[in-house]
Amino acid sequence: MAREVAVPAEWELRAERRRYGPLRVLLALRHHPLGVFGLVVIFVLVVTAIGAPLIAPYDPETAPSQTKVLQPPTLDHVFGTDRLGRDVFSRVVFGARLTLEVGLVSVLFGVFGATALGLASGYLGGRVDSIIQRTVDVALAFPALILLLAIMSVLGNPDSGPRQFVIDHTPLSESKNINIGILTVAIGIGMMAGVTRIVRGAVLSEKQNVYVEAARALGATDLRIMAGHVLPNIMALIIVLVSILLPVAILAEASLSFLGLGVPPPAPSWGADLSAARSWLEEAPWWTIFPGTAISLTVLGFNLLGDALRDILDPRLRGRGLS
Amino acid sequence: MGNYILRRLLLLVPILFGISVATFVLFRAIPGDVAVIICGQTGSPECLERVRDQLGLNRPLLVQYTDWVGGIFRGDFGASMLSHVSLASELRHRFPVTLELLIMTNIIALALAIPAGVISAMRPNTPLDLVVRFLSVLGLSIPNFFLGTLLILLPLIWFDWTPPLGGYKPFFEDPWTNLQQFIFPSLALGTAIAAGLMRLTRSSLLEVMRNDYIRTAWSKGLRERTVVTRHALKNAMIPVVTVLGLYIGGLMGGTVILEMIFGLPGLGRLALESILLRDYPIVQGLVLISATVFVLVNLAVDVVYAWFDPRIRYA
Repeated sequence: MAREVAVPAEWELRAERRRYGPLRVLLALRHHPLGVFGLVVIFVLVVTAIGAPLIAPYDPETAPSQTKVLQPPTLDHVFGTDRLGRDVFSRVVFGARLTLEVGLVSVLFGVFGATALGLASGYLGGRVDSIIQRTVDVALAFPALILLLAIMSVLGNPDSGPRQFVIDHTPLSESKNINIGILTVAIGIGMMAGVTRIVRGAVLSEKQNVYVEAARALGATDLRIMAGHVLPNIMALIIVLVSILLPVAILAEASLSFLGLGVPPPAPSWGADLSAARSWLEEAPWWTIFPGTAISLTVLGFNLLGDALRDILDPRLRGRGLS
Repeated sequence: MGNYILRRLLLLVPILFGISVATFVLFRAIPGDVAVIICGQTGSPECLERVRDQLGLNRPLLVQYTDWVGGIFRGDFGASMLSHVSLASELRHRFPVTLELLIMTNIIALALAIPAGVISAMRPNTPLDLVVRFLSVLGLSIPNFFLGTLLILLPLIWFDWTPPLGGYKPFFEDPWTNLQQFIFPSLALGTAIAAGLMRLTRSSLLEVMRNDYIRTAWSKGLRERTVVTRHALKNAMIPVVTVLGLYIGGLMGGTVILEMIFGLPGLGRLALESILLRDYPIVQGLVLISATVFVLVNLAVDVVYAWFDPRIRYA
């Protein structure tokens, strides 16, 4: 029996890493029925997004001729039509594509940047750490939505001046110049500060490990230790962060579009459609209900999967006030 | 403790300095300015020039910045470049609206979250627990603007009635209308927070219930109710309070949306309008104020922490 205890250190390390393999995670999911439900929702969403042109019966941005505007759901238009006679179902389907694109890219951008900053801040310490952390302090004290609104009004609209608008019923933005790429980057930047701090914390505790010291003794450069040794060991945390942040990013896109500073018309954004539909709530409730349900279901799917992943990969994160 | 609070307050100085510079630069970088709005998109160059001159927008940035900060130290937060209403007077009218919204939101959130969290932690993994947990994930997933819209739409369909939109009435003038105006946006805003807090209450209470002193309480023969409320809940509340503090920052964004949907003349709506109209002094002032509030709330949270858990000492 005693011989079994004397396992060489590298075996244990390998075992540790294998626990996070994708197959293991999928297998572990069977103990999390809600996580499986989330996975199914996301699967449907991804299929919808990829196959949008095949699934949607009409063009999302232009109204087919001969349609009535604000038509209730019928067999021809299962989700009804909007104020311009466009098919709401087609817009919801194409909206999945836009939502996933903006959500995924912004989170990857934000987490990538934050991981680099957090690694530098936590591993290098000293002056680099102070500069990054004081900047994070300031960024965290900014109200997030205001920061996003500000970034969007600075970057989103390069060539037009301020717009006249009526706050109550018309969509705020009639401008077509707001760039989806910039929206994505803005959302990514918006989440960077908080993630930087979390990654830094993980790096600080990871840095204490002997393997870092060993690598340094072997003459590895700082960059190599950060990217080759510390990073793989905080990968589980980063994957969990991505899954927690995805619904946050999706909500941010929808909120900004709802406020008229996100995706410009006629692009099929769920948030923008909700905003436009608000003025016709009484006449066309379907125009509100379907895009709204689409956002809620999507975010629900990611939240459920994110919770399950967090339980499987990194139970320490439970209860962090990130979502 | 006094020392600690003082140090934290001192830390506010560099943060506010950073915020003031950041907002100042950020909003000056916005293409187009108030002059364009005053003169119209096709305004003559002379008009633009004259307006910018009047408002001092032609001066070097550093001069404009010191002018603004100097004003704050004299208690002058600046005024709108469009309506010339001072920020101080806007605050007097609008702050009560946002404050009422925030207070009601927090009351609703806590009233939903803590009982739900306790029930679900007392009977973990029972159908009741699963239902409560599922509802909480659902609450986290419905965007507040959709929930807000639904809270207008559903009464409209079912009762042919909507909550009053616009025409804000202060509480002391017309409490009944006022409550109708605030309960729906607060509910829309509070649901997500309640959901987050409920999950936290549950996991935190489950953890506390494993402690030895809880076993002692049980073995003394205390009723479940006493064990939970007297012994466990107070300690379980520590993380909940912290996170509630963190949520206040996110809430400010939420007020922008719900004040817009429900036509409440609060600070969030002022912020949105001012950003879109490039009304620099108002936006800068608002961002500075909300950042200050955010930092102070976090300080208050840390202090409340020590009150909840006397073991925590700040040196």
